[in-house]
Amino acid sequence: MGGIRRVVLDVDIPSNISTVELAEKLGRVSGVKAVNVTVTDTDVEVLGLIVIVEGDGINYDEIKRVIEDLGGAIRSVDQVIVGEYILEVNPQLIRER
Amino acid sequence: MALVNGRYVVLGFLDSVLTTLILGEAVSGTAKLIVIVTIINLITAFMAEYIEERASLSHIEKSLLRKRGSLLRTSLHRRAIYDALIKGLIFGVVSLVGASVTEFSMGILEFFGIPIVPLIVLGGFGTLMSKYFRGNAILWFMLYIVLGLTVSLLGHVINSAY
Repeated sequence: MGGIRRVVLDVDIPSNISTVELAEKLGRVSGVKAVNVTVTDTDVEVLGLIVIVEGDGINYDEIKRVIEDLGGAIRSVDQVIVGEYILEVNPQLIRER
Repeated sequence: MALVNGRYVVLGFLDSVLTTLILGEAVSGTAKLIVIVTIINLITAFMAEYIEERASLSHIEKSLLRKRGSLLRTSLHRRAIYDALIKGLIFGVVSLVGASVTEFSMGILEFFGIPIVPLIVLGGFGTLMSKYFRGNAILWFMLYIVLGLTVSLLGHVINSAY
């Protein structure tokens, strides 16, 4: 079975950190092929983000290190996909729970 | 990256010129006064900026619900040190220029013991700075001259009293 293909993270970062810089640094992590950083909450000092990282054999420790080095904090890991292909979750299954 | 803002240019130049004008007669040795003014300004600007940056980091730690001091090993802290260093350096270099110009031009032309050249330089600096915020150039030229004149007279009074 392959390594990590997708990670979805709920992240808070200081608002003086550029989201472009964060996305670029995450994009340089080994195994990463695409990064999506979306701002979900803005405060005076903190930005709330949803960070989606996709690739093949993503180095999660390095992802964590990049976020923490920029002063960010991972609030939760909302989705992790590991394997040969991306296995999407059926939204109906979540709704039925 | 640290922004080269007008604050440290004005502060550095004004502080060094006025300090040199007021201490010019009391401190013997041209280089000594220039070195003193430059080093003191460089260190004070760095410390002031660093303390401000640390306070800002502390606020961010609180907002992020992180442990106190946990941001000290991040690039955010390294950036804070770099910013403080750059601002300290700007302040130091501008102070060096201001103190050198004043010290070397003090004896060129005097009127009743008042050094004329540094006052004109100070007025020129005021005019230059007024362009920074689109102020009245003549008003700021005069204001800086009056400031220099007052400090110069104060220096004379202090030096003759002690």
